[in-house]
Amino acid sequence: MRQRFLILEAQYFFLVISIILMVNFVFAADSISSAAVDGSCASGSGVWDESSRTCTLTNNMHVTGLWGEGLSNYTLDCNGYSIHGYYLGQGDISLSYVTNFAIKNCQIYDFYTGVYIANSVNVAISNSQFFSNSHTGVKSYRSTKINLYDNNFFSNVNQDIFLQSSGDINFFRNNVQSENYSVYEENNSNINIFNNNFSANPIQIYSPSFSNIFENYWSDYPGQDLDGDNIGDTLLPHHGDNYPFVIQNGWLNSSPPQPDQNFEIISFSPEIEEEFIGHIVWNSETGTQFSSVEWAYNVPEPHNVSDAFITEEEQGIMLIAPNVCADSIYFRIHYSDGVVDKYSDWQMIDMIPHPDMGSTLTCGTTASSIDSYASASGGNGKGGNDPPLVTGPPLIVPSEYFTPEVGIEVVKFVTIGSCLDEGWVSWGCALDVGTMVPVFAPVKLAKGAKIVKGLDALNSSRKYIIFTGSLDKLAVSTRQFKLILNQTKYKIIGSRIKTWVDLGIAKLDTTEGKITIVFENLAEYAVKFGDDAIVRLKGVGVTNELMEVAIKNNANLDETLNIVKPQSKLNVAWLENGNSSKGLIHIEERHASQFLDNGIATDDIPNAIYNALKQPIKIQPSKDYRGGWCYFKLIEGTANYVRVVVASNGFVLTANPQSNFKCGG
Amino acid sequence: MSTFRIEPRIRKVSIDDDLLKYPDVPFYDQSIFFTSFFGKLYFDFDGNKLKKLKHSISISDDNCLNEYLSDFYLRLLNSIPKVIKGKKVEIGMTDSGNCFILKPENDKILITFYYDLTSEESNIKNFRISLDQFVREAVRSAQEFVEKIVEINPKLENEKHISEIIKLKEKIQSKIKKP
Repeated sequence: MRQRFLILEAQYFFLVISIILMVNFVFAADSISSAAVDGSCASGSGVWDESSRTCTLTNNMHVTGLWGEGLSNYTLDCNGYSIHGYYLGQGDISLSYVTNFAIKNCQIYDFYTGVYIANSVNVAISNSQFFSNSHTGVKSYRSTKINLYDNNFFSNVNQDIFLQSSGDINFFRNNVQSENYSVYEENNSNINIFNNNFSANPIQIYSPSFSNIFENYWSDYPGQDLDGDNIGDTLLPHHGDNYPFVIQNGWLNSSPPQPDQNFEIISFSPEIEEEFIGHIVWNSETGTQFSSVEWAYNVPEPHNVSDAFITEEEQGIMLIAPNVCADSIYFRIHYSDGVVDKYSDWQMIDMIPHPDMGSTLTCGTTASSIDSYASASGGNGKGGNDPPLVTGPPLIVPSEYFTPEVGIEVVKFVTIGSCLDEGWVSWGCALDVGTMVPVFAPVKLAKGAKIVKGLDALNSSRKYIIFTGSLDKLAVSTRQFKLILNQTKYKIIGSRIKTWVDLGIAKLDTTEGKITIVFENLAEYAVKFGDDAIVRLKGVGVTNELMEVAIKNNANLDETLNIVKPQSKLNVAWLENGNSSKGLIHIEERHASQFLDNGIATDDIPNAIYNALKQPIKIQPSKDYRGGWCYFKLIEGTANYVRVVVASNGFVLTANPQSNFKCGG
Repeated sequence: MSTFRIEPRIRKVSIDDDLLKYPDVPFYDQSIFFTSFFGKLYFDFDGNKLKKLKHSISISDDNCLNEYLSDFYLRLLNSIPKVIKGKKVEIGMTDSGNCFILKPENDKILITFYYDLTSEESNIKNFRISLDQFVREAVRSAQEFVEKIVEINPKLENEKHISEIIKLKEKIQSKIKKP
């Protein structure tokens, strides 16, 4: 793109001269351009440092607009000074077609939009204040790699942040106190919103896109922190945030591990999370030519260390063949600038048997290949009388063993790799079969494992589903998926997704990588009690809609014989087995003989009940204060009725033949 | 003076009975917990008992009425202010079409038990006792029911049906003249 600049309200002469001279940036002060065409910094407004390509302001700027277009490698450091408009609802600091542009230490106010970023790449705005702008604090339009951090937003009229048709945006460590929306985003991709204080905004966030929102403080979060880690545990997610902090700046109290002697391992999670061994994040130094992770069981010795390289080409995908008897595993980061090798300290991870594997693999065996592990996972375990597998090194299965045909889920414990040359290592990259660009926050800002954890449910599941590409492949997976149902966290194994899709409880989109829960109550019931009752009830014609309502009304599906929609008054009614006091057992014990007197055999009682509910001749309200209804249907050939007494929630309490329309009371 | 007596007979309680577990009952049983109070009522009308008539329902072989007891006592106690005001009241059953018909007559009350689903004549028809006797027996019997329930599990005193019965009973007791 040809570089150019524009001047708002500039004299034509300056405009022509500026274009000719290809000046990068111009300030329009006091509504008339006073820009010095010295190449970079406005005359009288700041000092230009060519080496860092930084313009540092030396006084406040009162302008109607400030436009930069086509700039690259440019930093505007306000040095605490302000750039402000005339509060006429007009003007902005407009950055279009810029690359590698930074704004910092500014106070930006009284514009229409404080900073408007359009068609730009890699823009960072930090340590600045945006306030009293008549529309928006910062807007990004059709731009990528936007980092907004350590800013204060307040009293911007429409919204503080407006993200539109943009991507790869990180919004973190900001204080946001808007008069309307704090963040308004639409039609974006890969937005990470974390570690912000959202305070007293009327509408905290509008995010229809697939945003990653985690570990923020929300002033309107009504939930509770149950375990004292300052992260809320109830009423989740809140504004899409599954890890909301309950105190402002709560993340500041959560320090990453201390750097080791050589270079910094930002963090790792030293426990097995689901089927993964954890996550490792570290800083690579400038000049790193290659990096790797060294692994060893027991005490690391030269002979038992395996080195797994991480390269851009391979994206560092590695699989560890777990020794099921090992109770610990060591790793360290190894990198080289081509001259000197450097190492982190060894870090130890305690191993525990995977719950699905403990009974199928015996001690002394090492699952050293995917095939063997696949067998183990498939129920044809290698334990028992089977000969032990090959033991000992290599402990790490090279990336070429990772094949879609086998499926990675049969290999438990870890998939660790690096997706970027910036020092990222995350299992999530293993599943990134699309762009190979992770959607995690920059490593220097992340708290490593917690950040990754916060993205687990969103990204790993999505990518894994895309990776599997079909319901049938997902069905043979033992992967766990996190779910939040009725504000409670659950996990289900991947194989159950197929069951749920077959049952119509969930929908699967392998293109988007989305699992959509269609019937939340039904899904929660299935998680807690299994699918058997649901399958059985569907077999007798009960719809998911009816089951959904019945569960909401406290039906015990395992004990339920049938669910029907009564003709009126109630949305649902169900007949449970019950006991001698209620339900079918009670009805049969107490009233079977009367039904028989009226020509209804015991086996036919349930159908008589369903018919009365669906086609009653009369419906009477219960005269009890707890409510409920009686449904009456004439018994053919008699002057009597089947009376069905239904509680207000739909539970069929009792039923009996009756000659009148009495309903208690 | 006629004898008039209402005796609540609590069903046998198994070791895993909800009455024992209360308030720790499954969520799906909480809204219909009153069904746990299913039991029997024995009535004595001057030596006469309820009969198990042909085709009639909910009268057991031991001449008791099967019913949800908390429902019955709530209806019984709620009927008292009405009959005191001279209104005719029906006390229906949740588990059958049977009912008591209470007909005030000056300072007396006429009690009829209606057996549903039978053509046989009721043996409890216009049984006459004083209103005062009726009220005292209703309150005494409700008290007996509550005591028996609380004996099973003291926490049941706070169950909503039981606590409502206690409240109604105490309200009526406060208005009964001391003999």
